[in-house]
Amino acid sequence: MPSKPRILVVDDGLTYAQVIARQMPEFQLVGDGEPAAAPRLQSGPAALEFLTKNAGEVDVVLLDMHFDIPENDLFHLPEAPTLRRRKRFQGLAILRAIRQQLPDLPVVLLTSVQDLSLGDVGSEVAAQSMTYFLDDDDLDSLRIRIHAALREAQEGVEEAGILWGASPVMRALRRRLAVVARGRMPVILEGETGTGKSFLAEQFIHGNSERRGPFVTLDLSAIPQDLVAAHLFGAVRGAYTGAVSDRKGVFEMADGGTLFMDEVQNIPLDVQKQLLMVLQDRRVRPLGSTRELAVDVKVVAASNRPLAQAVARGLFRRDLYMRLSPATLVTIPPLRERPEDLWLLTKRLVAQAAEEPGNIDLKNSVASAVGADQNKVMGVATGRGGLPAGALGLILPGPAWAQLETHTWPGNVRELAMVLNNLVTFTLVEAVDALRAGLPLRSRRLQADTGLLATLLAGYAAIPTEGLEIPTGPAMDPDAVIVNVRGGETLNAVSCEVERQYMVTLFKASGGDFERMAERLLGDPEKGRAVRLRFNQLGLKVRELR
Amino acid sequence: MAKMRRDDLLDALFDLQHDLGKYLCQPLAWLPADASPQEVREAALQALLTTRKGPTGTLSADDLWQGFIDEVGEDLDGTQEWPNLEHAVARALAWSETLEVADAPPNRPMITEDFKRVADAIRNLIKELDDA
Repeated sequence: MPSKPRILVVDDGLTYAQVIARQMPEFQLVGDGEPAAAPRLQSGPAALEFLTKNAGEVDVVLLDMHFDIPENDLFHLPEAPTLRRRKRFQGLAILRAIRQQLPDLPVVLLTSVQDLSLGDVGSEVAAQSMTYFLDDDDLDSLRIRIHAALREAQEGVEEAGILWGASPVMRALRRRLAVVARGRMPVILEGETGTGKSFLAEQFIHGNSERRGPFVTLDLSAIPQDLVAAHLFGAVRGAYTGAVSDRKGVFEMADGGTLFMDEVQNIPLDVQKQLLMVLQDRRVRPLGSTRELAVDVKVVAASNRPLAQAVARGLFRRDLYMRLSPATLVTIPPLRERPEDLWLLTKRLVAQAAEEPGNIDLKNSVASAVGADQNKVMGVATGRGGLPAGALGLILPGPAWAQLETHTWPGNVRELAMVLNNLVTFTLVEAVDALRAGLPLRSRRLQADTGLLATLLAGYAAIPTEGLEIPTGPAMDPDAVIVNVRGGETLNAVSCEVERQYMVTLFKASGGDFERMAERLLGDPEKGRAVRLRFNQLGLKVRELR
Repeated sequence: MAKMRRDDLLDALFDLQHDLGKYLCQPLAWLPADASPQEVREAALQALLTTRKGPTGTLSADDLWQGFIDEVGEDLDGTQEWPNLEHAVARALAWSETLEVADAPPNRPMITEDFKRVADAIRNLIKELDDA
């Protein structure tokens, strides 16, 4: 962002632009409107044209609601059937047009939410991210609102308990999910363990789908293969051994709502065919039943492996994959690919950890002893960094923060949450122990133990990152490789898959050195070229593994 | 009250909120806290005398109020909140004489409060009609 945040005023009147120009020198007004000293754009079409040409040149938009301008310059607004109302609520139509192009651009609506009486539209607008109302129409409120909008745009938005972070990749993810959440189209969610697939499916996709039915989860990695069909479609009593009563399937349970199928790649091939039929016909027939049920279900299919690769290997039906719609595939990036979010997540997770039932009493005891404010969440700072005024804080020394930054986070945000939760607990327990022992504790800055953090991280360091693009064997030790093979069309395909997974594990264990691999496999480091050739024959790409 | 008529009244009230309620308060609200008495006087007079600058020209607070009464005053007379609105507007409009003749520094908090009462009264009347 440039030294002065850039504001675009969209208003048929002069007041707001003049006020900013005169009273808020910390901001720069942009726009090609008149007058030059206080430029503003007076209609939706003018604003959209400017934003289209200068999208990156605006940090926040101030948007009036009432536009008393010629009818030709007004955007259409379905909720406003009369010209009078179109003028009064024109800001909404302009906001919608801006959101189509720039969903993450902060927009401050220059009206109070209570004066936006247009059915449910007010609450719809109020729920949008990066959209703010100016509830008190005065200088201080406007200044505070603009600064808050800019800060949130920089630090990342939080909604429905989801902390999106500030990285471009997460902003793009949010935009994409907001689109695919709508309607009944199935969604494929891919992401490593711990990236929050099920949470996003429930809180964001289901939450934004406007579906009134329930959210139902089926974890397909936790169900015996021969019971998958019964769990999905239901079964009548006696349909299979052990079916002692009728059972509802998850499709029936999720009717009118959303069905989240976790680890969808685990569905047996024969059941995949049935699933395809259900998705096509929107009808489900419980096992052993002659009766078909109509179901209206939005399916979210999640996988920690690329389904396209499973299709290529014959483990997942191509027609089912196409039906699930690769067009709606969304990949959740691993934490290591969005380092700019680490600090924001650390702050939030430390605060959350200290408020958990096991920790909050400890936190309050320590806060009370050192004169910190018990009502404030626990802060975090690195080195000599500052803490929020009055708050108890966890201090991460430079080496501790460096450890967090360089860790590869194979367990992603879930792992970060667990590590920080442990770190907060240990730190608070140590502080309470010190108080009980009568040791003087006066600072509200509690130093985290770098050695302890290293121990906590070491437990995860042995786990390789899953890497969505390249499937790896679950073990790093080439003497104890567990391969993950579910069968293929030919024996050759199966054995190649086994070999592929073994080779990847060996490649990683050998540090990517083909001579070392050759020595291990053939007892001769000179045969590295032959190993490399075999590597290529198996379709493995060195570039992607390094 | 027929639904269409109620909607028309609400439309008129929302416009009044925008043209009078909002613009009456704005000039004082946008002044810095340390504005001089002269700046306060000018801002308050601007609020009262050049309240709404629209495509058809400039209207004072009194013009806007008279226009509103002509349009729907009769229909609103009898609602519970109408007398409060009339009273609030009368108090606000009375400041123009005071400001033009008085030598004493204008009482900014009192003027601000009186102007805000107009917006509050309009809001209350909208709520009454909405709930009806």
